[in-house]
Amino acid sequence: MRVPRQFSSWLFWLTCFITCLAPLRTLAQTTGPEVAAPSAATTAAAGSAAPLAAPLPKEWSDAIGSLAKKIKAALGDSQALTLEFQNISSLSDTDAAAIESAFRTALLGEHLELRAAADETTAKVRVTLSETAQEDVWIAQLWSAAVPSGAGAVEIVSVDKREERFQSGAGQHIALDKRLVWEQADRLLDAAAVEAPGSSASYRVVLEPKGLAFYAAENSQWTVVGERVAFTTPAKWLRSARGVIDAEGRVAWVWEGDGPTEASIRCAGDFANASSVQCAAWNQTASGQFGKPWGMRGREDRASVMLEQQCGTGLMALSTGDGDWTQTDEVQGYIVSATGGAAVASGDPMAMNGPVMELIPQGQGNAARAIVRDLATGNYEAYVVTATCSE
Amino acid sequence: MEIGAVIQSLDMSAAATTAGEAAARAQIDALIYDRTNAQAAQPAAGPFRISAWEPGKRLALAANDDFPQGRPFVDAIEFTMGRTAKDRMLDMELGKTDFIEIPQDQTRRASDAGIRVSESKPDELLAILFAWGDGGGPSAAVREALAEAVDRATIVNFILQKTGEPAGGLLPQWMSGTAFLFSIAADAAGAKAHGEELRAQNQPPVRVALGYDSGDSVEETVAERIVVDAQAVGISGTARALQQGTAPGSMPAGFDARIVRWRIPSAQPGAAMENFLAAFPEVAASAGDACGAMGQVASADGIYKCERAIVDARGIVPLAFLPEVYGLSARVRDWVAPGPGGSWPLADVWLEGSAE
Amino acid sequence: MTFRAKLFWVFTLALLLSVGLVAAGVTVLTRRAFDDLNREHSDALVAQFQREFDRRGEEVVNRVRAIAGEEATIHMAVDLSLPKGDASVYVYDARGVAQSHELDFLDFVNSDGTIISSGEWPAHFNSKMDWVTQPADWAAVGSFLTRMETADGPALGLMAVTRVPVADKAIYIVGGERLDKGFLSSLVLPPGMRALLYLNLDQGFQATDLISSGEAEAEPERFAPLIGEERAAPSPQTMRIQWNYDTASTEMFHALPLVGRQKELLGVLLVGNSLRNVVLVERRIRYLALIVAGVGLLLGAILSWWAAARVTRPVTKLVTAAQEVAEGNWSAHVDVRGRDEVGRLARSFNQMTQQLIDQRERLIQAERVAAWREVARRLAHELKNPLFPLQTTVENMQRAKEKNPELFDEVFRESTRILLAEIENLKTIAGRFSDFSKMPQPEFATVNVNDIVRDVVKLFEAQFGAVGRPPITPELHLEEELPAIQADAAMLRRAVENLVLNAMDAMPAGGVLMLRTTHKDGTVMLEVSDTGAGLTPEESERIFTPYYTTKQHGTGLGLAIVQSVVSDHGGRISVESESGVGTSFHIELPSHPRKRPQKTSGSLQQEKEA
Repeated sequence: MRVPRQFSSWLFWLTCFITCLAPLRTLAQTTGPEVAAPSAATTAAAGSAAPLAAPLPKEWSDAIGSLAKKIKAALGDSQALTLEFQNISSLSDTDAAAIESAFRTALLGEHLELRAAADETTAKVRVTLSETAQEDVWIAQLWSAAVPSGAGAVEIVSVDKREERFQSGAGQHIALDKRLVWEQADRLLDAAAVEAPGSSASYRVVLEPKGLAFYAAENSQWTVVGERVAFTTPAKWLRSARGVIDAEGRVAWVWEGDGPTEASIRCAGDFANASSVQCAAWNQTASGQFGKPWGMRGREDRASVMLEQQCGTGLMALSTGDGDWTQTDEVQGYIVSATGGAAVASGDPMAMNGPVMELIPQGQGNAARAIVRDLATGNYEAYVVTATCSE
Repeated sequence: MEIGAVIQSLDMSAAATTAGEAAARAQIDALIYDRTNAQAAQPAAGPFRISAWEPGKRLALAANDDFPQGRPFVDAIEFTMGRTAKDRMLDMELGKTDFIEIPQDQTRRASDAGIRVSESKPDELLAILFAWGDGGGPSAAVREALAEAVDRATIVNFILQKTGEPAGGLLPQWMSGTAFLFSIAADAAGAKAHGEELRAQNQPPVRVALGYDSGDSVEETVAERIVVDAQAVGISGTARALQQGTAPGSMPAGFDARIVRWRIPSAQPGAAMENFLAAFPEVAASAGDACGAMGQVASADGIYKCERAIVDARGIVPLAFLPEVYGLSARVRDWVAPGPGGSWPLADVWLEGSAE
Repeated sequence: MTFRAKLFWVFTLALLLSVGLVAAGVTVLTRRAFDDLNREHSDALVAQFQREFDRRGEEVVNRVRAIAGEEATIHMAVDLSLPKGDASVYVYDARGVAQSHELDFLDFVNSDGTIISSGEWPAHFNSKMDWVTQPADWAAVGSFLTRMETADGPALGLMAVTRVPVADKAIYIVGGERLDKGFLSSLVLPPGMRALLYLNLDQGFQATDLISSGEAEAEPERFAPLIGEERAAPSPQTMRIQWNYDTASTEMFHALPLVGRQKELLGVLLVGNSLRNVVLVERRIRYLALIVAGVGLLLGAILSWWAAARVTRPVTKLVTAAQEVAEGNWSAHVDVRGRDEVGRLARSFNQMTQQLIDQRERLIQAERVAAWREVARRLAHELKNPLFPLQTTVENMQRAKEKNPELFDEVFRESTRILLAEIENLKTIAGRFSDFSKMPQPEFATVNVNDIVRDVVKLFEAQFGAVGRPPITPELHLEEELPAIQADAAMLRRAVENLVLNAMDAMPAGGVLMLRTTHKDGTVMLEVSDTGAGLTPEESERIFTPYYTTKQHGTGLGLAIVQSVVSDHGGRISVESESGVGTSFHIELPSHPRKRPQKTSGSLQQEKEA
């Protein structure tokens, strides 16, 4: 489901602050020169781009080939051309260089001669990497030797950003599994299972906009345990209250809007013992502390979380679909390239009964909690979604 | 929360007298009704309910506690209506209002006055629309000469005070990815050559009447500037205000062209083009078969070809892409400028320092 | 035209000419005097306008300099002198500044001549105003007129330029006032005068370029000739315009050329001075002059008439007397006492008439004596013829008684027959004389001469073709439209009969008798012609003499009777004859008989016996 990206970014960085920084540092060390990108080259140089360590996604290759064919067809009898290349999209210099190199190769494959300087027999081609919100749009402008100026002919290919694939090498596959943790009619922000040491009882702590509630399983039924911890929150929190439970750390945070500000609430205590939980205002002006927001390219408006576990050459990530709160949703696993940029969908998406309101990273690194509102029942459900990477 | 708005009437059944009023009405409509629930037989009550309505003077909205997506942060919104741009900015400076729309040519002045300014992505096309079809209209040579004479850079830099960007095509670059293919530079030499041809062929000389919305200072100044550009290449023109009440986009008798604003309704380029073709059917017809099926399924190539055919036919001459510019008081938080087709996220903003 | 009338007209015309010359002279001198006055007035106004114009120019210069000294302007100049100076920030500034300084024109111009901001034409930014950068020292130029472009077209401005230098660059402040209706209205003019402004901004004369401080001119094209002259040769000129049929509507316009820095004609100021008062005064003077002239002429005419009458009276008397004399009243006398030529003429006239009377008396006496002698001769002649047979017969009777008594009875019967015949003859002669002496007074009535002629011809028709007599062919040439005259029909018929008889007697061998009637000027003319032997000139002289005859028979009174009748009718009779050809008698009868007898071509004039 689409959510303000600011939330997903703050949530990500908050959890990363707690749990993810170490793995990332490890990842940075391991993803060293082997996956270092070639140096960027945004202007034409005949076939001088450094070869990539990783091949281009199939969709990109297909698009490049298609454009080369269109250029070939448009040039007609003219076989020689000069090529200009420019990138005005958000593709990185590395990607742009890779695309340029592949494009030159494709042109050569079409038996076209690339020249450095123009003469009376040479056509001129300028390729521009552009984009829209959803697509990469690559445009070739052609000027024949006979008509070297003016608007020129235009050939366009486009590639849906969401369909980009990185071949991560061995063909990793992410399998998703979900497990219902909690369900209730009232709105919940997060729900976590709490293990009490030395006890076989199961507890649940549920973070709601107005307070923390504790439940224990008795006779296969969940009953309220202890007093509900109420928050003194303004009415506006009903709309955009956010919260996360760190069950292991026995901390829960609640805030509203983009991220923790001076109006946040922090609760700490033994979640198995409701009376021990204390909540207080948490003056945390976190603006700028957590760095640039992360958003999956092409899905900046979706709920996405980066899981700390590696899968192949990238990290696993989860993202939701593009429906709104009236539609059922899905969770899709992605492999995110460590060099930045595109994320590759991997495996089958997992359908949900309603919109996924939140995706919250779980502590183990390969799971996240998904808060879903069941459209059929109207209940709010908390799932643990586990992502398993397999070859 | 106080808002100084342009809107004169809330009656959605009556035609809006200006494009700005139509847009403002749509925004308020989105606040009152939640139209995202497509399954509902009637649009459900939105984040706000009307608590007071004095036509032409004041509209008060109160937060809807029962809104399924959550109660808005602000308790109430009061719209004060019929305020001119100058008055609105003055109200903002005096602290009488929290949210205003700012005409694009006043952006710099608003900033200089210390008003907090928020700009959306450019999502409105400002263009010259020519009279078309059986009703006559200028010849192709005249349209071509005018299109070449127009100095978009001057319009954006001087009139719009660098708010917005020059437009050569119908969709901005961020939306279509191909806007850079359309030239935005004025071709003074070509325009002059066309102008001399016209003078040689026509006695008395060709005169072009260019209309603009009388309530829109941007349109007025742009129209006058276009007349200056036209005169520089030998085409005689006059800029005249359209009669009050002229429907946005219509071409009254006695005018050869008019300035139009087309608010792009969707970030999806195919859907946007579909809306354009519906909004300007005569111009759409000029593209012939180039504009096939638009909408969500349209490819970038198809959209470009349609745009190119329309622009080359010179039934419409794009001038600039304009963002929506808003002025916000210092206490407004969490404001995000809406995208094309988006509504003011007034249900999501909150006021710093307000009582809890 | 009578002599008096001629004299009258001569006097009158002479007077008229004199009066006219005087009046014309007075009018011209009066007009010149007023023109001079008017010119002085207009010159004063023109000078006033020039002063006002200069003052306004100074004001403009001061305002522009004030703007140049303002902080905002200096800030703009400094900002734009920097490499990254952004002119777009100032694009809307000029309008507000212009309003606050009450300037119609205000442009901020960059050092390269590009307009930064234009108050009068906001959309004109970025256009070129190169002429601003040319003069080196605008301070020395002061205010000037120039053509300014606006959104509504060209206009004329009283402008000033100030340069604001910053480092090696500068901006120019170009400001001014528009010369328009408001400008004209602000000029203070005396009553009766007004100002118009023609903006010479287009090709040819355009009525719309003529500005008035009040209502628009109804006939702007009337100024076209003056404007045309100014365009050809700019210099102060004047022209009169009469707006309608009333000359009091005339206005005198002084045209002042308004030139720019390059001496090009940018406008023409027309200062109009109503000549109404002048015209009214002139008119009054003229009317008075006309009245005076009229009265003078009237008096002059009266005097002329009186003078003419006095001068011509003796002449008139003379004329009257002459006319009376011509009508037969020879005793007319002219009573003129003067000693001048006219008096001498009158006295001569009187003397002449007296002499004529005396001569006529003597002539009459002589004629009377001659007539008596003629009558006696004729009588003796006439009587002698019958008396001789009487004597012879009586002697025969005596002889017979004495010598042949037996034959006395026969002789007595024969002799008594002869005596009775001769006595009858004597009685006839006596009767004719008696008839002639007893010619009756004519009784006038309306008579048609043609009818009389036809009647007479009809009467003698039988005789024209009488058996045993050579035929006489009558030819009638009677004018159909012959007017009727006043005449005695019987006497006239008798006259015509006598003429016909006379003609018949003149054609014993037959011939043609022609009778013709015509008329002229109211006079009826009757011609009776024959183709007889004709008359000798001597005979023609005496033909109308009573008892004169060329015939063997007759008393010789026929033509005398004809003459008498003609004379009684106031007509005249004449004869033409050519020997061997024929004789024609011409009678002229007036429509109304005149009392004055007409002289005939015959011998003595016969007096009409009362």
